[in-house]
Amino acid sequence: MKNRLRVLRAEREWSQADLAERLEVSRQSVNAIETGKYDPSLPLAFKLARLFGTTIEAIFDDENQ
Amino acid sequence: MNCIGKSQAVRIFLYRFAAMLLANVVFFTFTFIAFYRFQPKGMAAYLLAVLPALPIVGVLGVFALYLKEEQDDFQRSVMIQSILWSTGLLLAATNVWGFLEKFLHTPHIQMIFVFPLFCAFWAVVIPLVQRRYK
Repeated sequence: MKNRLRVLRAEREWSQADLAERLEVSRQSVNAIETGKYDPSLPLAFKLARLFGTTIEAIFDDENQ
Repeated sequence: MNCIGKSQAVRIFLYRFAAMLLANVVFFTFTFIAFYRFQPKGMAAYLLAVLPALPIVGVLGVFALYLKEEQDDFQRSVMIQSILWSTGLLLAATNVWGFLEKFLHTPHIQMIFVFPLFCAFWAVVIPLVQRRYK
């Protein structure tokens, strides 16, 4: 699934490791989500949205819609 | 095992897994020696044969506990995929070898080596699954 995670992270000058620490997941998880190779669970998607102060739809682009 | 992350769940998993492997090696060796030395029969032989299988059941429990305790969905997914792939490879390899044994008379592999083979497949598969996401 396409997403704006890399952009949002770059805006805050966070590394993948910084974001992973804030989300309490591994850096590999952040990388896999950013590259669209892994779709996060709903709780993690909500966590991301809360962390960036936005909505899930603003981060993730459901291409099937 | 750096390849599956360093969460608390992974650390606990590795300790438990190592303990089960150690128990398996100890029970395996003990059973081997006991069968050769005492040549038990009947119920004693059955009980002795079950002994090294107990840590194998334990390993499945260790996998299940990890999947329950790991909070990182991605790492959980990597573990599930690696278990499925290594189980699939094990089933395929033993099936292929079974036919080769039957029809081409290749050397017989005893079933007591199936679990070590699973562990070997799993150790190879985990970094490969992880690599998919790099």
